[in-house]
Amino acid sequence: MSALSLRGITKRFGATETVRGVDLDIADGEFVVFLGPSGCGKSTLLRMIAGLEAVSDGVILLAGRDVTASPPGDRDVAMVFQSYALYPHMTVAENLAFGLRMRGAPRADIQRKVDRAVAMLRLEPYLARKPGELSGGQCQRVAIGRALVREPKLFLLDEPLSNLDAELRTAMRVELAALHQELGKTMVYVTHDQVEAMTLAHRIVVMRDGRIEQAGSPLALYERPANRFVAGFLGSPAMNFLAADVAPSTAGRLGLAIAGGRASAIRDITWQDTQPACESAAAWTLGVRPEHWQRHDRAEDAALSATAAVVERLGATTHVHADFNGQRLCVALPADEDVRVGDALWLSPLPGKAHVFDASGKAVA
Amino acid sequence: MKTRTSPLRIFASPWADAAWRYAALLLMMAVTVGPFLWLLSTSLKGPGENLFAMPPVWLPAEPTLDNFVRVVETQPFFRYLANSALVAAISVVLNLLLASLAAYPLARMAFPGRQAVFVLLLASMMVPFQLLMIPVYELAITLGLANSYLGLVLPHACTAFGVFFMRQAFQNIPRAVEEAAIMEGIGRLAIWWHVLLPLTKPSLAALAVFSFIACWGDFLWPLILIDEPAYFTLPLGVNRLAASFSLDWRLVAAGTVFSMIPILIFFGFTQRFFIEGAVKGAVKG
Amino acid sequence: MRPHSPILPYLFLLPAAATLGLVVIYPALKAFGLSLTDFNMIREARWVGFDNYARLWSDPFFWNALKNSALYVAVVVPVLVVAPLFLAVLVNRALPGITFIRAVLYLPVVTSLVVSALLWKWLYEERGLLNHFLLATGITDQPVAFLTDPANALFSVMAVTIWSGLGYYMVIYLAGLQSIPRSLYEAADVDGVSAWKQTLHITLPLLKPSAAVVTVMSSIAAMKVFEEVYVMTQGGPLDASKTLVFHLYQSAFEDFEMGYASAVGVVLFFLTLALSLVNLRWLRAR
Repeated sequence: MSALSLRGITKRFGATETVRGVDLDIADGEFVVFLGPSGCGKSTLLRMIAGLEAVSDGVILLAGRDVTASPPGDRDVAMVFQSYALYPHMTVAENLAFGLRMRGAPRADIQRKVDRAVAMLRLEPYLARKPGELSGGQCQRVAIGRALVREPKLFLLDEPLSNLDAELRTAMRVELAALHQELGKTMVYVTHDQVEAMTLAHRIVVMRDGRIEQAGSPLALYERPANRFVAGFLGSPAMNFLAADVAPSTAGRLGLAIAGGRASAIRDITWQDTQPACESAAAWTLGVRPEHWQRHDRAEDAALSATAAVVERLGATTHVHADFNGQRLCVALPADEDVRVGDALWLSPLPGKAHVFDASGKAVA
Repeated sequence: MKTRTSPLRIFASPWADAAWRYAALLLMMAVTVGPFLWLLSTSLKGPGENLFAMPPVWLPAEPTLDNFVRVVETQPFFRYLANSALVAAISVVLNLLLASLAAYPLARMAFPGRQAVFVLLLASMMVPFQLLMIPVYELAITLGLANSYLGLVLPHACTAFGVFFMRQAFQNIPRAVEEAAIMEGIGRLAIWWHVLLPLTKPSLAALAVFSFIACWGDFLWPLILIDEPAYFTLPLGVNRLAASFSLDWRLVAAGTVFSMIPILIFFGFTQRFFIEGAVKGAVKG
Repeated sequence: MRPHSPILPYLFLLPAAATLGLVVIYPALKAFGLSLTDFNMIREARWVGFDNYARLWSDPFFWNALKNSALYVAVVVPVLVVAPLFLAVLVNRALPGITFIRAVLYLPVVTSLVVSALLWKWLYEERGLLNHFLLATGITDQPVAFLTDPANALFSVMAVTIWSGLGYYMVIYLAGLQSIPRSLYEAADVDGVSAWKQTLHITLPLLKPSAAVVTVMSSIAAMKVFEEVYVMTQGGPLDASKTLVFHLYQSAFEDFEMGYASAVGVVLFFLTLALSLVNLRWLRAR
């Protein structure tokens, strides 16, 4: 039985649908990240799971129990907010205990649970302070502690690290991963930051326009994006998309070359009679990640020739932005590679690493 | 970023600027405090002194509290004081309670009829009390509230202004703080009491101060509702003093000073709320 | 919005709604109804249609009161819109003791109007302090009959209303001044804009909302003036200082002509409403 099941979840605000028929099953103990650009509906979906937003259509099952109409307090879920949402007028200790106290939990029980959270998150030094006297990172630890104290079946985290500066965000990310490891609780995490998604998730759910574009393990999404959107959204710098030309190939397969590059196929795909219109080259797009280019010493070996326009040396790698046929390509090269602005770069995709998308953006190979 | 002082200058030199400001302000302070001081001086003058001496005698030759003693002997001013305090206290508590209760759904919940409630509230702010006082008077008489504390409280028990004021205050609380409490399974009434009210203490204090002043200084309503001196509030008492003693200014002055002492003390302690509260209430409301 | 029990919002609203319904909404409707009757608290009210309004139309006392109230608004409002602005500018600087000065200037606001009116009645005495000043400085050679001369009475009462309101409107302007971001002035300084031009082109335009609030509030206050008149002149001499609200009060609670008084109240309501709307529109338009 899934820890959380979403069946056809839809959210309408008047005439506009912000979440459109989402189906998803989340296993017990799984760490799932909803990833997508702002306005994709990921936060609304999380808030519906929390019970903070009413569901327009569909069913939410928590451990098999239909909670679609239950108030948030009856769902056995806890939530961590982007803005921490601590009670500003209470000390850290009071913040942690408040929910249980209001629910009339026995004093000893509260103490035990608070102590456990305090120990796990090392909050001891701050117990007597108020949120106004804490840094952002400390506030977020308290907010996580407040969720821990509840001992819920399901943790919901709404962009919990977005308000922190870069350094702290990295540290908290590691802490969160360790915490999940230790607790083994089911967590649903919303973010627009793909690094957080890639590093934390067992499974990433990429959303756009209220729909799930693709769900899968971070590496599966990176290696086999289901469509152009996912391919472009995951990975930094983003994947390069190039127009394709039809090239000679073996019988029954369609060869694709880079338009404006060398005329030999870099990928071929199974040719089906059901796709006659797609024989025209314009229907296909090739996708190559920056890190999947190889550089050649001779123009004849390369699939294309581009001119380096901007060189960014990051230390570990070098990103070269190169002009090719009026298009900017991003190429990640080893740090010691000798490139100068204006150099000609002879490039081809690593074998088997080029992605092919059809006219609708769907990945074909 | 807000400024504490905007750099509005008339003179380039800061010294000249400060000097002319102090000069002008001193003059204005003389205008506002002068009458009070003159009345205080009058109230301390004994029967032997000529109140109308020309030129005026600024300070009493032999300051005496006789006038105060006579005022308290001839009229139950301590009773008036207690009445005023009681009525103001009940009014303030009721107004804070009712206004902040009603403000919660208006600030944070969606419900059918919300718009209609807004329209009615706005409308009730537009209606002058002078239009209402005849029906309210009739109502109070019908309910047997003539010459009663409850009757005095009636028009002050809830104000639309208070509802709007508290709604504004609640809206300034981050939504997520309330949602965090909802996620913890805390009921709305408990959230109102344990989260919203503690977080809006400054606004509550400002509203308390405002409703206190409004109720304390109210004259028209007690004037028409009350004819039994046992229920007189201070303004009625002072007015009675001015009307009944063929205008003995020593007594009137003493009674007036007496009636001002509590509000001066109150103002001394709460003066920052007047300024802050007026700022919040006036500009938003 | 979040789901919650559907009746919950109404439960929160109920106490306030019941109270306001009882002391505002119901009486407001009732007042309109009463204005169409000859209600006098003693016998059953009789429907008289628009007789009370017809009577108003031909009642010289009503027109006199209306004229006095109009004059009141015409004098008091401009003063209360302009003078507190200067005060606010004066106190809008972190000088030593400024908090105390602000508090002192605010003092008349917290003083009950009955007390303020008595203070001034004492100053206005024929041989009172004010006349002493006027005579000593040679501005007049006869004591001024502030409250007993029909030509002076209304203006003398107005002075008290102005005196009581200065501090209140000063604070509203002060709030407006303090909400102007300092960076605007700094930018103007960098551009070499003179202090006077900064006042003209930054401060005054940004204070317009405050001025709108002050205009509306002081108009309503001037329209509803009562205590000052009651304590100082009782509307006299010769009805010279009788305002609309005082006329209403006398009709209702001295003559017990509640129906007629309600009609006066209805007129008062529409006048204050019109004043607010006109003021707001006028100030928004510019």
